[in-house]
Parts: sequence; C-alpha cells; structure tokens
Amino acid sequence: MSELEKNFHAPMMNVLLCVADDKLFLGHRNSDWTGIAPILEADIAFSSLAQDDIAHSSAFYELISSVTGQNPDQIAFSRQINEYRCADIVTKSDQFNWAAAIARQFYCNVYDYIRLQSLSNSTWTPLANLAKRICAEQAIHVDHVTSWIEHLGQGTEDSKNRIQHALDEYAPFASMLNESPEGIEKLFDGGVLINEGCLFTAWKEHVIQIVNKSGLTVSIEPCSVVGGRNGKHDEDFTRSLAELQEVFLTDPAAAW
Amino acid sequence: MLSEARTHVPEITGDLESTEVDNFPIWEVFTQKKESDVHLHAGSLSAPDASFAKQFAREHYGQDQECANMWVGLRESFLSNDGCDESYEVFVQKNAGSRHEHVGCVEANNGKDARDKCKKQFIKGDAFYTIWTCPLSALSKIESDIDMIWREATDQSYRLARGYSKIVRQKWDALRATKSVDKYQSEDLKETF
Repeated sequence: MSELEKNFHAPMMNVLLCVADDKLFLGHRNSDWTGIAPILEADIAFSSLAQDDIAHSSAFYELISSVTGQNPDQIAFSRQINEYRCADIVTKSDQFNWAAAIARQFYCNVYDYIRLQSLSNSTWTPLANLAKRICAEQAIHVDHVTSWIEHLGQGTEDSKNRIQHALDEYAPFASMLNESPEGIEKLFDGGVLINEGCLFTAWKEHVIQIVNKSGLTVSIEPCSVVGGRNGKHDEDFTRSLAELQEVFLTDPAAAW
Repeated sequence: MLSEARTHVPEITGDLESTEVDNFPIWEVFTQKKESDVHLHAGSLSAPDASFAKQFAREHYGQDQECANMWVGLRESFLSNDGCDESYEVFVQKNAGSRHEHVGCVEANNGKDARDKCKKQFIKGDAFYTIWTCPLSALSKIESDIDMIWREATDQSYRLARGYSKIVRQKWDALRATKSVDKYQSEDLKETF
C-alpha cells in the first residue's frame, strides 16, 4: 500500500523517529572526530560515514514529513527532549577514546542494519523502498566497522584490551537500542510491519559472531529499562541536543 | 561551530609507546567513474594492510565523485621490476604531472617484462613519461555490482564540487536578486574598505 491508514500514523511516526534520531545523533557524535581521528585515512572514512548517517536521517525525516506535512528541519531540530526517540548509546560520550567510538559505532551499525532489513518488509511501500535502499548502504557501514573490530581484536595485546574494555562498557547501553517503540504492536497487528521474530536475538547473534571471530567476548542482556525510545534521556543526550539546536534556534525560520 | 565535546579534546593524543601508526605502507588507488571509462589514478593512501586499504579507499576516493569500480594495490607492486609469470595490469602516464591511465593487461614474467610488453603493445613509439605495472594477484578490485562504492540512496551532491557550486551559485543569485547590483556593490565596497 502506498498510503498509510490514519490510525497507524502515530505509531509509525514513532518507529521512523527512532531510526532518524539514532542516525542524526550518531552522525553528529561521530563528526566530533573529524580532523583528530588516530590516522588520516580513518579520519576521512569516519567523517564520510558520519555524513552518510546524517543523510540517512534526513531521508527518514522527509518520509515523516510526507505524512505529517511538517518541515523536516523542524522535526529534526525543534522537538522537546522527551519527544526524541533515539537510544542514548548514540550520544554517549566516547571521551575521544577511539576504541569507545568504534564499539559504539559497531553496536549501532549492526542494529541499524538489522532494523532496516526488517523495515524493508513493511507493507507500506514508501517505507519498504527507502529501507531497502538505505540498507544496501548500511551494509558498507557494518563492513567497515567490522574491519575495525577484527583489526583491534587481533592486533596487539594493547589494542585487544582497549576494544574489549570498550565493548564491555557499552554493552548495557547497546541493549537499549532494542527498547520497543511505543505502539509498534499495533503496526504488527495491522500487518504494516512484519514481526519476523525478535530483532534483539538477530542483533545479538550478529554482534557475538563478529566479536568472537575477532578473539573478543561480550555479554549482552535484554533491555529492561525505560529509556530513549520512550523519551527518557540522559545528560549526554541533553548536551548533544543543545549543541545541535544552538544554530537552528537562533532563527528557526531561516532558509538553508 | 564546534560541539561542546570538541572544546575538551585531550591535549595528549595518546599514550602509545610506538609511533608505528605513522609508518604504514603506501597504496595506490585507481578509480573508474563509469563502466565505460578507463581506470585512472585517483591518488594514494597509507594503510596497514589490504583489507583496510580497501575500506579507506572506498570512503576516501570512492566518495568524492561517482565511482563504478576501484582498484587498490601496494605502491611497491606498481614500481617493481620483479615478479613471477602471470597477468599484469599496465598503466601509462603520458606527461609529467598527468594521471596514470589503465591501458590494458599483459602476460609477463615480471614487472620489467610487463613494462616492455606494454611499450610494444600499447605505446607503439608514442611519447610517454612513466609506466606502472601491477600483477593481478597484488591488486584488490572492488566491483560496485557486488560491493557498493558510490552511494545513491540519498542526495550525495554535497560531496561533489559541482553540487556545492550549484547550490552556492543559487544562493548568491537569490541574494543579488533582492538588491540592485549597484546597491550591492556599494555596500560591498563600504564593508570591505
């Protein structure tokens, strides 16, 4: 179907905001590394991938806009804190520890990939088409960050310790990627999204497979707290949002 | 504007004992804009191994213009006279300062032999500056039909020089249209001097 029924609007916008907000804030956080990543080529690559994430988020804000009629920039930049739907791992500060940035990127990229795969089976065709196109690009992100996990895991004792520590530290926040967006059951019941089983299980298996192959370990528990997907955010998120909004709010009506 | 995090970048960039990160080997990258184009030398990069060289090449040289296919090989393998009996891709630089261009593939015993065969088969007495050769076994090929390079799911024109200039020109035109040229110039002079 190309038109989304009215009673699915609210839950669907919730799901789309989860994707768009995750990618907007992850891209923003990763762009902190532009100019100062540990080696020149990693710097260029990480910045390029960050640009991709922001472009992807923009495509999802535009899809939301096509339903609600709001301006995509307004959606991205002028909501209240509790109206943002990202999981807070995307704004967790990495303290300019490269291993932490890679661990965060790894968990988020694999999750995005699995989620996009699932969304590409939606019976709402505009979403299925967009998810399919972005998913093909997301595979590159996963490929790239997997290369980093493998290299760090199989590099020196020092690199192995650093990435292992970062993976352990971020694992609890990574689980929160799996917090259910409000109303998603309604989309499953209505046949708009296809519930092919647990995204959490698919994500966890994918993560563990790469981590183990790289000579590392990780312990992942299901998410049991209410967090970003339901609008409950931590301080790092609030700080990131203030940064993102600073320029926009000086003149919300400006044309860019 | 810098993010708040950027105002707290640690001054010491690392506590690694070794500075080996700065001494990775150099890789040469060739890109093909469209399937019908030849592979042209795009530039070089430094990377610890072939797998990272491919990853970095895809983001660095594969994203500043449309890119159909991409070849990456160690600089050494392009310059070496040695090698064994196999196929070699050969690249000719016609003038000093111009980019190496892929001209074909030859069967040869080693790098020197491949260069000689390139002269005979492809250059045929024409002027040239340098020849690079690379054994097929030392060349990583990224082919976009199986391994995506250039991305098109979203508008990527911001990555391109022409995309940028188009948008900027539109903005300048719009700004100029709001004022007469005389007024614009007089303000410009006043602000500048």
